[in-house]
Amino acid sequence: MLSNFADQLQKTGNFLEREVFDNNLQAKNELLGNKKFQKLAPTIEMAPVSNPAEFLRAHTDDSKNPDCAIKIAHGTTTLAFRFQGGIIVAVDSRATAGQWIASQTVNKVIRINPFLLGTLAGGAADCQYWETWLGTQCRLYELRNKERISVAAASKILGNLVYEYKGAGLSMGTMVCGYTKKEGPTIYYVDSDGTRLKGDLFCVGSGQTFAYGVLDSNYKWDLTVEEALYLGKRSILAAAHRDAYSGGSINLYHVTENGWIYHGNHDVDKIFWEIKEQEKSFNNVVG
Amino acid sequence: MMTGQHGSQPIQHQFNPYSDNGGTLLGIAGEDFAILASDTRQSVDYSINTRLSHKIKAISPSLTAEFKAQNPKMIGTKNSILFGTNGFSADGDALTRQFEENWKWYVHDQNKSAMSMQSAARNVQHLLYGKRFFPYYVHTIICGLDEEGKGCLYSFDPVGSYEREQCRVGGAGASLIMPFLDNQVNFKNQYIPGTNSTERRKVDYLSLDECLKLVKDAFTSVTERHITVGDGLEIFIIDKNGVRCEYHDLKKD
Amino acid sequence: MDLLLGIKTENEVILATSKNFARGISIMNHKDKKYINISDNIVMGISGESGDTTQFAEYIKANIQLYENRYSSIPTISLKEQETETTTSRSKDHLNTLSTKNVANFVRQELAKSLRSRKPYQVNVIIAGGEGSLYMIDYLGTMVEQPYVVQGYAAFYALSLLDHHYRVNLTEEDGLELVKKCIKEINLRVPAAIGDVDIVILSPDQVGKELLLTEKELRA
Repeated sequence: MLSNFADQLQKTGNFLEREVFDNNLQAKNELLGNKKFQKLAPTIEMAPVSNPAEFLRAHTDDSKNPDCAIKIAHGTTTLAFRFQGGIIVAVDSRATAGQWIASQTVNKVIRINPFLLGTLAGGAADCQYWETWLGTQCRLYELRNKERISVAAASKILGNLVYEYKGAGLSMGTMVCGYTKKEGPTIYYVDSDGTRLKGDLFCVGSGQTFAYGVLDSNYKWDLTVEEALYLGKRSILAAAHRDAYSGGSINLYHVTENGWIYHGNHDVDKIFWEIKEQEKSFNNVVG
Repeated sequence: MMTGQHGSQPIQHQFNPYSDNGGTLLGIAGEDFAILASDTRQSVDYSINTRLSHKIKAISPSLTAEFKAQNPKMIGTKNSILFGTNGFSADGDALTRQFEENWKWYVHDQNKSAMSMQSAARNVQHLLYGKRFFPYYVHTIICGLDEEGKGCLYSFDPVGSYEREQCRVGGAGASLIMPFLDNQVNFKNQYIPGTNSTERRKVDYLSLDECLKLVKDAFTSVTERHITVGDGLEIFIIDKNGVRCEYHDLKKD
Repeated sequence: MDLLLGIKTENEVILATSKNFARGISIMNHKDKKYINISDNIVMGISGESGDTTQFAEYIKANIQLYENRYSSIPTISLKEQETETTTSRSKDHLNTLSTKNVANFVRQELAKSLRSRKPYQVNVIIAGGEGSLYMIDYLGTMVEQPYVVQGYAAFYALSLLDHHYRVNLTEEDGLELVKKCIKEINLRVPAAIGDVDIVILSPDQVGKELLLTEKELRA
């Protein structure tokens, strides 16, 4: 007996295959030698078992099975908030596989286009892959419609995509942040359950609570750009300090009506002592 | 599901197509060269399958007679890609084979002499993510020269998340060697003497000789402390002259 | 959700505990008391498995009192020259009253012993002493002394906030404001309601003050 999901994918081919069909690329099959490169991605293969989702969980979910063979990179703190001057996006840069710190230099903000940013939390590959994919979709939209895609539409493309894969084992919590003329500065939260929310302020990832703690207690709409950038950085620092799965360095972005501006990479080890000294905070730490 | 002969406990047989073949893979990108090295032991549990397996393949445009005559020891051109996998050997072999096929089609279809590292990395991501729900159990590292001729290294997790880095260790010895490389290649936690640990040592490229020393030290050390690492060390070096391969013995116990 | 939070100010120690008592999906009581006055100047906040909490709190309180009754007895020896009765009894009293540190270590030891028994107490506590010490102990017997401590899920929100806003020389008013800030954040983000909150303010040389922070005040 095949589970619903495997059944569904086998019957319909898969989402990407259908997309190739939709785009009428089929006719060109004879023109190019290698079929593999006509698709945006190869068909995603399933384990040949009755319940592929459970198979995947058994072999890759280190939270349920600590000695599973394949450890997928996880763990994060990301935040984005709207304010008077646009949107601030701040993220940490640590990737963990179980207790192992796989990397301290991960780029968790994906630049979908000069006006759109996507943040990355959860499965590193899932976010990296689907958000670059989203980038291509947004570009195709632009070519077809001669105007930039709205944040609502972009986030809905991603939301619908992950919903197609619901139950298969994707893990992602992302914020699509951007500016368009008709929407103004906009943030959508999209996760692998299929949730899609519009809002002013989100923190996502294992360190979200710590980031909320600082962000909520200092947030107001009238923040200056400088204050807002500092608050974004400070909230990620709070999470990096208290959440073991977050750390490394902080990447900061400011989204304005002229597109996003990158505000640099800030090493946590360095700024922690600077901020402690300057704010006279972190009084639990002796040093 | 089957019922056991003795007692009523049902026995569940789980489909497990994976195994861990041990070993370690290490890459360092220098200013105008890159190194990819691995041990040559292949094992399952406590048994050694072979003492000479190859986890790295140099994927290169075909060598002209002229090139061969001029560089008798070179096994690839400067446009080559060093492709290394570690983990489950069968998956690694499958991935390498698939990538090589893609590489050949790409240079043929696009009428190019080689594939850029950036494109290679993106293709590897697609290969790995194509099996997102039935993953390849491998840690992949690819090395080469980027479009400016700088040393270039990309590392991948089993399902295709990737990042360009200066150095990376994959496989069994990762937790033993990676912290060492952080310190010796990226100068992590190194401070200028006399500054009371306030001024960090500036990162600078290491020379090829320095890198080779690090690689050899790393592998002899991890051989001492990890059971699945040993037997031999293959070091692939790519620079503007092409690709060459060194072999060194490691302890056989 | 149970809230158990303590912070040290310059001259006081403030303990905050929630008054809602939840069981399953219902709040069974809005006037629960999650702290116990161990002595005039030492208070213990407690949360965890219901039943265990009250039992453990009463057991600790009784044993502390037993110790003090046993050892702070009236002097039985004759007074030495120039020594008045009051000085002896006071100095003896001082010796035989348990300090917050003593109490904390006793509680920790009891929890550690209990953990290795057939049915361990599943409780987490905060111990606050008027002379200015603040301990957090979990059911495993892990004890830390910190300028601010939070138990349970509330910690995930309150700790980063305290990391940011806490200062060493807070006044009593500042301390109370900070506690309110934490509770407001928890009310904003945690799905379960906290309700009213008990506040105990301890300071050296005087009996603890007990206040009530109502939900209304917290929302204001």
